[in-house]
Amino acid sequence: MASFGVEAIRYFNHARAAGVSTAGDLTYTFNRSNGFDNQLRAGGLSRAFYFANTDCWETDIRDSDQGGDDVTYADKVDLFWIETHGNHESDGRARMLYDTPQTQWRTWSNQWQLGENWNAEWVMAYSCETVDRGHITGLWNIFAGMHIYCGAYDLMWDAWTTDECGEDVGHNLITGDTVSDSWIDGVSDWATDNHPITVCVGNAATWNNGNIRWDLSYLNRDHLWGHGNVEPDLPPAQQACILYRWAEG
Amino acid sequence: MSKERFIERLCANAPKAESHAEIFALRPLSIDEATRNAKRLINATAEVCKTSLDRADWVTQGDVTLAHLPLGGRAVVYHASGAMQVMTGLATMASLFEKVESRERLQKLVESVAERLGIQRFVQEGGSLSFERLWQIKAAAADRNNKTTEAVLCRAVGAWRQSVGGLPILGGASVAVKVAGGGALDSVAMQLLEPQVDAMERAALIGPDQAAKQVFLQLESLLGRSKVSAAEIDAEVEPLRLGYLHLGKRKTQRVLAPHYVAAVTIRGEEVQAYQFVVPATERSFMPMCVAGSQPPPPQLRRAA
Repeated sequence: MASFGVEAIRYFNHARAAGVSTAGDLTYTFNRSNGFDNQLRAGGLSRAFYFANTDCWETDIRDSDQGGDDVTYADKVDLFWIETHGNHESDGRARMLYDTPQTQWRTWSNQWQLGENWNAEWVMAYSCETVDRGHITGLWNIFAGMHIYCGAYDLMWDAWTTDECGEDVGHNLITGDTVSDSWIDGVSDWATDNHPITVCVGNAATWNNGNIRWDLSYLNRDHLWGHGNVEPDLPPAQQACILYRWAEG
Repeated sequence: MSKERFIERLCANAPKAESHAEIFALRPLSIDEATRNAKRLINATAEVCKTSLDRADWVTQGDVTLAHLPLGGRAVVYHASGAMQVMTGLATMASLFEKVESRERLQKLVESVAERLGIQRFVQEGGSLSFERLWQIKAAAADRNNKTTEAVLCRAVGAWRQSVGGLPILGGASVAVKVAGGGALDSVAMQLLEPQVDAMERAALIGPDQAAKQVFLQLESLLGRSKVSAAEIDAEVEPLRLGYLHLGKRKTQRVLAPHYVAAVTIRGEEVQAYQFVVPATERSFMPMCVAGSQPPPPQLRRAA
């Protein structure tokens, strides 16, 4: 049975008290995460973990080779949902904030390496600006077999209109939409100014000398396990391009 | 930004509120009625797609009814609100536009598809529906040498807003029509409310300045105790909007009451984007869940 894990942080009082960040608390974090959790369990997936607030640790997504423990958490499940405050560095690395330093207050995506020998196919991050469309290749290292990173290239709102986003993404996944559509459609209500993006890697046939074969891409072909086709993993040696799909208004 | 400056910016260009606004009761839709509406929408979709979609497999799953349609399409009916969606089953990266089109052309395209769907016919008496915004879904790629391709246009999405009594019903788009290349319909989503024609009450409204003060208090509460106070945070503030609220697809709503909505963005080391809602009436007519949910009971993290 396919599995998923959830990490969601609503309160950042420890980070603020430590002077690490001025980030405010969120309100609808668990509306989204609980909704996602409910839908996926209803769709027959097994929840491996659901950690909240200070139980979310940056080591959970950091690669085991770099002192992290992704082998037990983010890289042990097929789908990992995380919600916190985010941003990116000028070289395109994603970064996200935690409310406890385990062992750092933030995670940086150059320390992620997902899908290598382990399970992770998809990561979904409801966080602002973890993708820089101008430096999209700055995320390449995270794809060590993982298929799609679902994030945002600008704002993602904490709002009464986005409280059902998690449930919408989950419902789309378990009713047969592709992972890319599930994310972009699920977090968009076509009113609130969310900026979703899905990023994946492709092989030489998909790159096709720059004439992209979109039909071959994970964006077009990957569904949740048990709810449609899932393409095989693409090891780094076979990765020829990085592909991304986004909504703008 | 000081509290005074924050409030000033929120109130700048804020809608000039009347002294009173109408409160409407909403007509509850039975599941049968909502399903009948969905069948109307499926029929309209079938006409636009010039295909038969009448052989649907209907199943109820929790708080929604699903219809599996021919060609991989589906329809969803949300029992709580009567909101509905019809997806035609186009593959995610199929039917791309031949080139990136101008916004004007795309808006005309989505409007023409919406007209063929007859979206205005789904609005009840006393309400109106107006085009609000065009969205686009695009895709691009880069190789190892950072050679980036031109973006391709995958879908254009038109969003419409329902209004009642001169005020918009704020929330997710009231109607969203997603169109693929060649004008093919990808999906249509509707969350239209059915207010009773006669208002149940006229209520006194508070001014934007009073609402702005409440918004500042909400922001201050979220920013909590920090070495940097809320007044020192550099926030981008959009003017307050006044409108009725739609609480979402999965919530049963009985009343339409006016509220002020504020959008506040903070671009620091962490980027933050909040929307705040404040009742625009002196007394509250509908419950807003501003407390948010809590997570399930904690599980054992791991051995230390």
